[in-house]
Amino acid sequence: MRYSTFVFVSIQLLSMCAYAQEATQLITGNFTNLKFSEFVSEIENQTDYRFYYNASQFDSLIINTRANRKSIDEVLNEVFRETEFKYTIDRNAYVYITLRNPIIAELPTYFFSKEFNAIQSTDPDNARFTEAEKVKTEKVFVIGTRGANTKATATLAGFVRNIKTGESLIGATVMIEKPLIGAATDGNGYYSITLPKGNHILKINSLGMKGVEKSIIIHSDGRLNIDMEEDVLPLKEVIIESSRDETVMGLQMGLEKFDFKTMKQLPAALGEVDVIKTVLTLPGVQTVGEGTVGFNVRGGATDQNLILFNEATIFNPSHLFGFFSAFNADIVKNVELYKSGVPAEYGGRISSVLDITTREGNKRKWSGSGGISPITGRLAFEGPIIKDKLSFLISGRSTYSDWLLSKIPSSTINQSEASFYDLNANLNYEIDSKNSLTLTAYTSHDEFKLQSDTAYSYKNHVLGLKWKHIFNNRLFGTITANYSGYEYTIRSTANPINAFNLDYSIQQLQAKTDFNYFINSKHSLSFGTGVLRYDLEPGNYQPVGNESIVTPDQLQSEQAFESFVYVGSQFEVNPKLLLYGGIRYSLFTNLGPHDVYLYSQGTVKDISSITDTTSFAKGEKIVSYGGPEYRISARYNYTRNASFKLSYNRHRQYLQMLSNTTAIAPTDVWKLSDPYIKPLIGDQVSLGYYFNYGKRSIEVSVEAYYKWMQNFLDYKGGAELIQNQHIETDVLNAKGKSYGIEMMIKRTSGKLNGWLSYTYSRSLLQTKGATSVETINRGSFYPSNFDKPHAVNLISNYKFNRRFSTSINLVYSTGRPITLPIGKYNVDGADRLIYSDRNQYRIPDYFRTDISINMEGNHKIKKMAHSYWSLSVYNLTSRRNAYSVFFTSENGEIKGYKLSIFGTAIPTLSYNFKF
Amino acid sequence: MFFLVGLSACIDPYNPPEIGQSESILVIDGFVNSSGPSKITLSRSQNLNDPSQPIYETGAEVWVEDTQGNKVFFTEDNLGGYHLTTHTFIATTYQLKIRLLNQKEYESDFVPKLTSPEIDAVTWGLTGTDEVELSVSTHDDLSIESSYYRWTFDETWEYVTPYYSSLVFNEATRIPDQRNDNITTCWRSGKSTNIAIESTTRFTENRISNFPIDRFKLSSERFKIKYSVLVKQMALTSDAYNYWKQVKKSNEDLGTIFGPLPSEVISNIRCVTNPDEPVIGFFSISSITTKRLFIPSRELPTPASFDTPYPACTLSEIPVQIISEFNSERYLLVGPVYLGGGPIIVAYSYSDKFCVDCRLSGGTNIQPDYWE
Repeated sequence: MRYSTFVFVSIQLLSMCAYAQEATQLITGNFTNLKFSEFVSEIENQTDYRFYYNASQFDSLIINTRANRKSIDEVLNEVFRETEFKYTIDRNAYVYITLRNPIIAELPTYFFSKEFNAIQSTDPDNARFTEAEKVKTEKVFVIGTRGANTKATATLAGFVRNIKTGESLIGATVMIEKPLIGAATDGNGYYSITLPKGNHILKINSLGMKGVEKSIIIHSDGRLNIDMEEDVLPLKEVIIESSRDETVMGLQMGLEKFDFKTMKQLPAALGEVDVIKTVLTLPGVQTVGEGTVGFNVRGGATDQNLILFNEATIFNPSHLFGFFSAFNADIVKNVELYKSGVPAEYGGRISSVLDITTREGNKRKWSGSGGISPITGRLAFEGPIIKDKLSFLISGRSTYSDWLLSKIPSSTINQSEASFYDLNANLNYEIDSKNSLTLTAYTSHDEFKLQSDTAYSYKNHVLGLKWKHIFNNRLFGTITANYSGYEYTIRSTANPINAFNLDYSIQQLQAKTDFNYFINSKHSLSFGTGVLRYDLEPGNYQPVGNESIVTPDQLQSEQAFESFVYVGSQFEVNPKLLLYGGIRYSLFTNLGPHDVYLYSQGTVKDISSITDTTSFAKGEKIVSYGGPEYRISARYNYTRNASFKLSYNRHRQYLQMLSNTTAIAPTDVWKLSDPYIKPLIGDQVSLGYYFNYGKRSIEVSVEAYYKWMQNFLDYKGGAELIQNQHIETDVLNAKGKSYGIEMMIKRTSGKLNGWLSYTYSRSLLQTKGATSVETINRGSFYPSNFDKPHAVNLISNYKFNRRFSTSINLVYSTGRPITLPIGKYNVDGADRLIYSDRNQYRIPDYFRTDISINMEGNHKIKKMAHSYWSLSVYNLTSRRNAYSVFFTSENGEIKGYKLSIFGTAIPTLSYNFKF
Repeated sequence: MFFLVGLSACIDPYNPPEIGQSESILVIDGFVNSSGPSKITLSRSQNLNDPSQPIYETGAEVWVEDTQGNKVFFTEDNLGGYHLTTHTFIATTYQLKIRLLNQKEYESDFVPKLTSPEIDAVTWGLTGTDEVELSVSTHDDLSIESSYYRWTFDETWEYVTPYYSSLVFNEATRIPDQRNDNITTCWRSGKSTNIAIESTTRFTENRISNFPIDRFKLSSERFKIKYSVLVKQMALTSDAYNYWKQVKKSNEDLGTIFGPLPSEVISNIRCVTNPDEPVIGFFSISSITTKRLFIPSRELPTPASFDTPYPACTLSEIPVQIISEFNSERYLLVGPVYLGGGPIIVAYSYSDKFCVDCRLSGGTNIQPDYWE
C-alpha cells in the first residue's frame, strides 16, 4: 500500500483552509464497516486529498459514517471522535494523521518525501531489541490508543523470534496469569491473544529459550513482536514451564514434540542423531524391528503416517534400508507427532502426522555446523543475504559406507556397495512485517548393490514455496505450493539375455491456503483449502542391451486429484472447558487415461474372471471418493493442575503402500485408490488425563484410545506387487482395530530429567472374504505385524554440570507376532514347512540398554567454534534381540534360527561442531 | 543392512516353544507324468520336531478322471505310493480323486494336460570361485504364449572309499579270501530339494536362458570323480506356478530383512466330505522332458580339499597269527601287508567298515547303466 509508511509533515492551517475552498473537495457517501484504508481510498478517489498515516495504528479502526457534501474536516472530526487520532492538512492537500499529538508547526522540506520512514523503534508497538539484556525489561509497553475501541478487550498479536538468528519460534506460549489467558505461536511464530484492557504481565516461553516477561498496558488492538534469547546454558527450566502448561492447559492431546536438543541427548546407534529413532522412543509408537525407520503409531501401518518435511510429503523417510532416517537432524528445528486429536488442517493419512520443521537460516550472522560419526559426515551453512530480511540455510550429509564395506573381510560384504546422501536448502525472505516467503528444497538419494548383481537406487525430492501474509492482528494466512517426488530403479545386467531396468515414480503437487482468524480471546477459527495432484508411473520394465529378451512392460500411469476444504474452530466455553470442532471434506478423483478391468460379479477377482476392459480417456473421471472427516476435541480443567481431554477423529487416505514384507522395503510401491482399492478410513476416539505434580515439575499423562480402520490392504498368498497389471486380483480387504492405554511420567527440569512410559496396546486385523482364498485365519481377528502389547521406555538424562551429561535409555517391548512353522511334510524327498495361522506366535521379547556421555566444549558465548563430543554405547548389555526368527530346511532337516541385527554392544564416538 | 550385519548382526540357533500341531494334514504329492510312469504319494504331515518317518496313507483309492467321467486308476504299493504305468491321456483336462480308507473323499480342480518342450541344454558354470551352478535352457516353438516351468533333477556321482579292499574275511574258515566284488567305487544318488521354477511372462520369447536351478560347493564330494545330473522339466499352469512359488517363498526365502511373510499355500485339492479340512499338495499333469549332463572332475578346478564322509578314516593292521580273532562285525579287511617287498604276508590291513565299503554311506556299487 502506498501509504503504509508514514510520514510526518507540517502545515499551515490557514493556507490549508484557503486551499480547501479552492478545490471541489466536498465528500459524499455512505461509509459502512470500512477499514480505515478503504475509507481513505474512497476519499482519495473523490478528492485531491492524500493521506499519510501509520497503517498499523488503524487496523482495528472500523469506519461507520455518512456524508452528504461534507467538508473533509467535518468528516474526519466525525470519524476520529472518541479516538486519540489527530489530523493535519497541508496546503498540498496532504492529510497527516497522528496519534494524540497533531502536527502543528512547519517542518523542514525533507519531511515532504513520501519515502521518508519514521523510525519504528520510537513506536513501542513495533519495538525490536537487538540486545539480549533488553528482553527482560522493566519497560512498560503501551499497546494501542486509549479509547480506540469501546470493547472491554483488545487483541495483541505479533511474532516471537529468536533474537540471535531472527528465526521465528513455533509453539512459544504467550500468556497472562490473571486471568489465565494463553496463546501459542503457530507454525510461523505468529501469536494472537485477546486480553482485557489494562495492565498485564505478559509471559512468553519457548522450548530452549529464556523466558521473557513484559509489562504491557493494552488499550486497543496492537502488535508486539517479541525477541527471545537462546537458553545458552541448557538448564531447561524455561522449556518445562512452557510445555508443562501446554500439556495440561492446551487442548491438544496425543501430541508429542521435541527439538534437536532432545534428539541429541539420546544415545544414538552408530552416532547418528536421528529424527525417527527419537520418535520411536515415544509411547504409542512401535516398529517391527530395530534397524527399520518404518514406524507404527497406535496400531496403524507404516504408510499411514503423514511425514511432512517443511509441509511437503516425504514418501520414503529412510536411508540405507531404514537404518537411518533421511533427514539431517542438525537442521531440524522441531518435530511434532500427532497421534490423536489431529486438527482439521492435516489430512491424507489415517494414523498420524509427523511434522518436521527445519530451522530458518540465521538472519543476523553467518554460521555453520557439522559433525563426524562412523557412518556419515555432515555440514551445514547459514547466514543472512540481506540482514534481518533474507537468509539461507544449506546442509548436506553423506556416507562413507562404501569405503567401510570394502574394509570388511568377508567376500559377500566387501563386494557389496551402499551409499547415500541428502541435501537441503532453505531460503527465508521477510519481505516486510506482513509478508514473508520461504523456499525449501530437499533431496535424498540411496544406492545399494548386494553381492548379487542387482542394483537398487531410490530418491526423494521436495521443493516448496510458502508465502505468509498477515492481514491484520486477527487474521493471517499462508499460501503453500510444493512438489514431492519419490522414485526408484532396479537394474540387473548379469545375464545379458535377461538384463532389465525397472523404474517406479510417484509425484505429488500440492497447492493450499491456510488461514487463522482470532475472533476473540475465547474463539478462534482456522480454515483453508487445497488441491493435490498425483502422478504415478507404477512401473516401467525395460530390456537392457541388444541381447535381452525381456519384454518391455510399462504399467499404465495413474493420476488423480485430491482436493480438500476445512474449517476448525476453537471455543472456550468457560475457563474450565475448551472445545475444538473441525471438519475437513476431502474429495479424491482418479482420472484417465487408464484401462480398468471388469470382473465377473460374485467370483474371486482373478485374471480368468476378467470380463471386459473399460478405457478412460485422458482427464476422464474413473472413480471418485470423498467424505467428511470430523475432528472434535474437548479439554476440561478439573483443577488448575489437572485436566481431562477427549477427542474424536476421522481420516481418509487415498494413497496406500503395497507391501507384504515385514519392514518397509525401498521397492514397495504406492498405489492410488481406484475402483477396486477403496480409500482407507480411520476413526479414533481417545480420552486422556493429565496432571502436574510437585511444583509442576513432574507431568503425568494417561491416554487411552480405540481405533477402527476400514479398507486396510491385505494380500493373497503369493501376491506379486511389483509390475502387476491388475493388483486388485492380489489384494484383500481387511478391517483393523486397535486400542491401548499410554502412561507417561515426565520430568523436564532439574539435573535428572527424562520420561518413563508404559504402553499397553493391541492392534488387530480381520480379513474375511467370500471365499477361503480371500480369508485369513478363518476370518477371525489376528494380531498385526506390529502388535506389541507391552512396551516400556525409560529415557533419562543426568547433568553433572553444564558440560557433562549422561543419558541412559531402557527399552522393553513384547516381541512382535510371527507366523511359525508348526508342522512339516515330505514331498519328493524334501521336508517342507506348514505354518501356523498368521501371526499366532511371537519372537522373544525385546530389551535394550543404551548409554551416552555428552561433553560440551566451554560455554563462552563469544568463541570461534562450539563443539561437543558424544560417546554412546548402543545395546550395552550385548543382548541378542531377535529381529526375526526363521526356519529353513537344510539337507531335508528343519532348523530354526534367530537373526539379531545389533547383536553386540556398539560404541560410537562422534564429534560435532558449530561456528 | 549388510555391512551392519557384517559389523554386529548374528544368527543364532533358535528353538521355538513347543508347538503341537493339532491335526495331521493329508499331503498329496500329486504330479502325474503324461509321458511316462507316474507315482502319487499320500502321507501325513508331522510335528516340526518329530524325528520319525512320515506316516503314509495306505489303502486309498486314487484315480484321475476326465470331464467325461473316464477314470484311470492307480495301483497301490502298500507303502503310500500309488503307481500308474505309462498311459496315454487323451482328454485335455483331468481331475485327481482320492478316497481314503476312512471313506473321506478328496478331489482336485480340473487342470489342463500340458506338454513340456524339449530341454535345449543343461549347463554348468562357476559362480564366484567356489560354487558350481547348474542351469537349464529351453524354448517352446509350438506355443508362443508364455509358459511356466518347473525343474527337478536326479543327481548321481561316483565316489570311492579311502581303502580299496581286495580281501574278504571268510566267516566260516575265519581266514581272508580273495574279494571278487568292488566295494570301493560307488554311485550315490540324490534328488533336488530346492524348488526351481520360472516363467517367461516377462520375456518377448517363450525362452528360458541359463536359468539356475541349483548350486553346490566345488568342494562337494559330487565333483571329486564324476558327477551326473538328469534334469526333468515339466510345464506348469500359472496356478501351479503360483503354488510352487508360495511353497518356495515359505521355505527358502524367509529370514531376510525384506523377506516375505509366510502365507497360506492354497492347494487345488480339497476334501469333499469336509470342505474345511486343509489339504497340502497340488495336482498337475504334464509330459516330462529330460536331459542329462556329466561333469568329470578334470573339467573343474581342484579345490583345496573335498568334503567327504571319510576324514576320520585310518588304516590298522592285524598280524596273520591272530587273524581268526578279526572283528568282522566292525571292520573290513583291506589287503595283505608283506614283509619287506613280499611275498610273506605278515599282517592284514583293515579299517572301519564304513571306510572300506562305499555302500555303507548310502550309495550303490552297481554302475548305473547310463554311466559313461
